[in-house]
Amino acid sequence: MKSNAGVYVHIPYCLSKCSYCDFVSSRIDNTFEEYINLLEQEIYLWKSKSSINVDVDTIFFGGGTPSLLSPVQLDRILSRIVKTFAITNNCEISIESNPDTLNIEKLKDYKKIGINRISIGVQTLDDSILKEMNRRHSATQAIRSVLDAYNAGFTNINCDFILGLPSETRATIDNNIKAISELPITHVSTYFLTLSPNVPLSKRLQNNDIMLPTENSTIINWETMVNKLKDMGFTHYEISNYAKKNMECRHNLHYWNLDQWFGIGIASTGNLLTEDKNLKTLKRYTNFKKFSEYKESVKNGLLPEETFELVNGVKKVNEECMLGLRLINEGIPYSFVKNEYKVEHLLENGYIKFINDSIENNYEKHAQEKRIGLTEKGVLVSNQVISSLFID
Amino acid sequence: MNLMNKKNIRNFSIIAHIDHGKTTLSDRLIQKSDMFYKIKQDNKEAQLLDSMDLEKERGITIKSHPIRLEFDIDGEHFLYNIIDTPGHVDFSYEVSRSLAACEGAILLVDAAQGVEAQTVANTYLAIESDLEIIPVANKIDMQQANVPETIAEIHELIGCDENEIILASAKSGKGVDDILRRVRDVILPPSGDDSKPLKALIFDSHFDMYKGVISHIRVFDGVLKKGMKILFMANNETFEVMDVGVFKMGMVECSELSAGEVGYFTALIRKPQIVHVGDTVTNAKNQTAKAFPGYRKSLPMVFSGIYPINPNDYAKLKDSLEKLRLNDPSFQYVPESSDALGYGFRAGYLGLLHMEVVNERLLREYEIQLINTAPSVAYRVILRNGKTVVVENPSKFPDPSQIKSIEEPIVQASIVTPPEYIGSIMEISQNKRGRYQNMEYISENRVILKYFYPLSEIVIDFYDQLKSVSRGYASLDYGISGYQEEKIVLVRILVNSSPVDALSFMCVKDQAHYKGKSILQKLRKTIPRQMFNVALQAAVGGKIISRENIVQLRKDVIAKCYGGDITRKRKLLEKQKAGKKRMKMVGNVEIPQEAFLTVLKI
Repeated sequence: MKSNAGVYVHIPYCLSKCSYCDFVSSRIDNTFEEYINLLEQEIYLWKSKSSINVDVDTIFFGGGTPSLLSPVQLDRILSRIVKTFAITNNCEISIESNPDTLNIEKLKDYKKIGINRISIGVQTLDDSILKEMNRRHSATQAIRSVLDAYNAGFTNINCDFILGLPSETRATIDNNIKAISELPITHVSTYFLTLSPNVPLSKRLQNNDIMLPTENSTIINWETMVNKLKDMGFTHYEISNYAKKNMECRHNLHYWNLDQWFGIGIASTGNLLTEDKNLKTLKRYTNFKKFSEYKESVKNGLLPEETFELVNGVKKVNEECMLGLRLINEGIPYSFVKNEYKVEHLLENGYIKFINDSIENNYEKHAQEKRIGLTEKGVLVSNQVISSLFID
Repeated sequence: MNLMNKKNIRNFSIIAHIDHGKTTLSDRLIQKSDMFYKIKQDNKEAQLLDSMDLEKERGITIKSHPIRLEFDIDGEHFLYNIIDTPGHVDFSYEVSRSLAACEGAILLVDAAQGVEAQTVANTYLAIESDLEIIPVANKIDMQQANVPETIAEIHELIGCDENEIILASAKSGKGVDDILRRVRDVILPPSGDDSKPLKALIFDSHFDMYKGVISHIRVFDGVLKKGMKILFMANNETFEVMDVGVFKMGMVECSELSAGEVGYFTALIRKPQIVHVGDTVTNAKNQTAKAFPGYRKSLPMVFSGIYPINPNDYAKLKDSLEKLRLNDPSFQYVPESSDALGYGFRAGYLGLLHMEVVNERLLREYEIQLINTAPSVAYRVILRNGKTVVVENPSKFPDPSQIKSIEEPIVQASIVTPPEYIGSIMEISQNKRGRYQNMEYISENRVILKYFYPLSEIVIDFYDQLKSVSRGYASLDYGISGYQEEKIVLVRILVNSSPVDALSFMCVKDQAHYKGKSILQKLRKTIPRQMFNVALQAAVGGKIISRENIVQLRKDVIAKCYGGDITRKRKLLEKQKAGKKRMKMVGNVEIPQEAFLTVLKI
C-alpha cells in the first residue's frame, strides 16, 4: 500500500515581527494579494505533472501568519488544491494562526470552507512576557481565541507554547497548564526557546535588560509540563508534541515518517519520491526565498524550485533515525544500531529504552522486531543521543 | 666552468629583517641580470626566491635558495652568487653558515622600521666572518620612512661613514644600480686555489626524490668534479659525486665547480642526516688539511608530541615526517605513544617558529590533522645515583624521590626596542624569570636590552607578548647560553581521575599552582559538557593542587523539526557526530583537540 502525501502552503506574512523570530517572513504589504494569485498559479503548475499520482490526505497552511488570509482568499487557494490534487475524504486541513487575527465570524467561515484543524500561537499566558516577545495579543485574547474556535465548531485545536522564556517562573508554567486543562485543547506543541544572535531578544539579553531562566529551572518546568499533560490524557508522541487520543497532527506525521509532501509558496520545502522507485530516493526541493524570483518563475510557468537535494543512502538512513526517534512511541528498530557498545551505554544510563511491544496501536507493526526509543531523560539530550547513533 | 675569471665573481648574502625587502631586492637583481630575458614575465611569481607557499604567506624565508646571476656592468661581465639566508631567530646557525660561504653582505634596513634585533645579530655574525658589508637603507620612498634616523642606526651598528649608505627603494628600483656597482667595488672576489685539495663548505641542502640529497656548497679550494670520491669531514662518510651544477632559476648541470664558485652536487645520498650544514667536503683521496671551523650539529631546543587526530593516519604521518625531514635535517623525531593520544611521535625543533612551520606543512602539504602536546624544553635531571638524564617529555619525568637536582636551559636574548617600551619589556621579562644583563643605545630612539631567560619561558608566548607590549616595534634574537639549577616539578592533569599524559607538563615549582589552575579553567571551557559530571584535577606528586568541574549536559534538544527543517537538522547532527569523531576519548570523556592546544599557551 502506498502512503498518502501532504500539501504544505507557506504564507510568509506577519503583522509584526516577534522579538525572538528569525524566520523568513515579512510585514504584510501590497504584495499579499498578488502572492495569493501566484500561489494559485503555482498549484496549477502541478496539474501537468503526471508523475504525481499520490493521494493527498493532509493540507497545512503555515507561516508566517496564515490567519491573515480572509476566508475568501483561503477558499481560493484551497479550491485550487482540491482541483489539482487527489484529495482523500477525511483530509486533515490545518491552519496556523495568531490570536490577534482571529474572531468568531472568521473562524466560522474557516470551518465552513473546510478547515478542520486550527493551531493557535499562544506561546505563554503571561502578559508581561508576551509584551517582551513583541506578541500582538494578550493572554485573555489567546484564551478567547481557543473558545471562539471551539464555538465555531473546531474540535481539533492545537496550541503552541514556548518554554524557557525570559522572566518565566514556575507560576507561569502552572498558569499555562491550568489553562490547558480548562480549555478544549486537543493538541499541544511546546518548544524550548532557541535564539539566534541577531534577533532583538538576543540583544536585550546581551545588554542584561532581561534574564533567561536557568537551565535547571527550564528543565524542571519542562518536566512539570510533560507530567501534567500526561495526567490530562495527552500522549507525548513527538519530542515537542502532545495529543489527546487520535488527535495527533497527521500532516506533521508525514514529515516524521519521511512520507511525501508538496511544498507550495515562497521558501517552502517539498519531499517527493523520484522515478527511481527501487532505491526510494527522495527529492527534497526548496522554493525561492525572494519574492521577485519566486514570482518570475511562477509567471514563466515553472515550478519555483530554487534548490534541491537527493535523499537516499546514508542521508536517508540517518533521517529515519532522527525522525524515528523523535516519535517517542515509534522509535527505530534495534537492528538499525551499528554501535552496540554505544547503545548499551545509552540504555544503561536511561537515555533510551526498548519500546514496549504491548502498545496496542503498534503491536502488529512492531511484534517482529525490538525497537528502541527515547526516554524523557533522553528527549532532553536527544541531539546527543541521535547524533551518536548516526552512521557514517 | 672557468669561463669566468675569478676576479669577476662576487659571493654575497643579504642581511635583512622579515619584510625589510630582501626578496624584492633579489627580484630586482634578477630583473637586471642577463638571465632575466629568458624568464617569461607572465610565468614569473610575484617574488622569485621564496618557493614554499608557507614562506610566501608569512613573508619569512625558511630555506635558503642561492642564485647565480650574470651582469654586464660598465662593459665588463660579472657573476654574482646571492646566497639567501633564513630570516628567523630559530635559524641563526644556518645563517652563520650561509654567511661563511660569502665574501660580503648587503645590510638591508627598512627605513620605516629601522634596525631590528635579528639584523643586529646577523650583522655581528657577518662581521665575525670578516665580510665586507654594504649598508642599504631600503623603502626610502615610503611615507613612514625616517631616513636620517635609519642612517644613524646603521652608522651605530657597523661604524660606516654615513655617506657610504646607499639610499634605495627595491620596489621602485631606485638605488639598485648603485648596489650592483658597490658589490663589484667593495666585495672582494673569492680567493682560493684550484690546484689545492678540494675544500668546500655545505651551507644548505635539499632532497630530490631521484637524486637524493642535493648539497649546496661553496668551493674554497680545489675543483669539484663529477665522478670524484668525496668525503664529508664531520661525518667521515664517503660518496661518489654523481653530478655538479649551479643555481640559476633552476638547477643547471655543469662539468665542474672550481675555487670561489657556488653550486651544488649530488651523490645518491638517501639519508639527509649525512649532509650537515657547516660540514666540509673534500676529496677523499687528496684531503684538505683542515675542515672549516664553527661546525656544529644543530640541536633541537623545543620538543613536543605530534599525534594524528585520526589514529588511522599514523602510517601517513610517519611517511610525511620522513619526507619532511629530508628537506629539513634540523627537524628530528622519534616514535612515542601516549595513553590518551595513542601512537605518535616526539619531535624536536630549533625553536617555536620552526615548530609552527613544521606543523603547518604537515597539515597543508600532507593534509594530516594533528594534535600537538605542550612544547617543552630539555631539562637536565641529576639523579641521586650521580647519573644525569635529559628529560624533554613530561611522561619520562623520573620518580621525584630519585631526583637530586634539575637544571634548565638558559638563553641570552637581545631585544631591540624604542626606549618608550623598556618599562613594559622589563615587566614581562620579570614575569618570565628574566635576568637583566645590560642595555645599550644604538641611536637616540633604539635600545638593545640584553637579558637571560629560561628557554622554557620564551618558547610559549614570549614573542607574542613582546610584540604586543611594544606595539610590534621590539624585535628579539636569542641563543642558548647554558644551564641553571631550578626547582622543576611535573604537573599531571587528571580527567575523571585518569591522568592525561598529553596534558601534563613540567614547570617551576612556584608556578605549578597558577599554571595548573589556568589549564583547568581553559579545559573547563573547551571540553564540552558530557552526559555525566566531569572532574578536572591538577596534581603534583600525590597532591591535588587545583580542581574544576564540568557539570553534566542536561539539555540539548532540537525544539521543532518540520518539513523545511529536516535537512538542516540532519546536517547539524551530522556535524555534531563528526565533531565527536575528532575528539579523543579519555575514559568515557570526549576531549576535543582544542583542549590539547590550550596547554600550549599557559
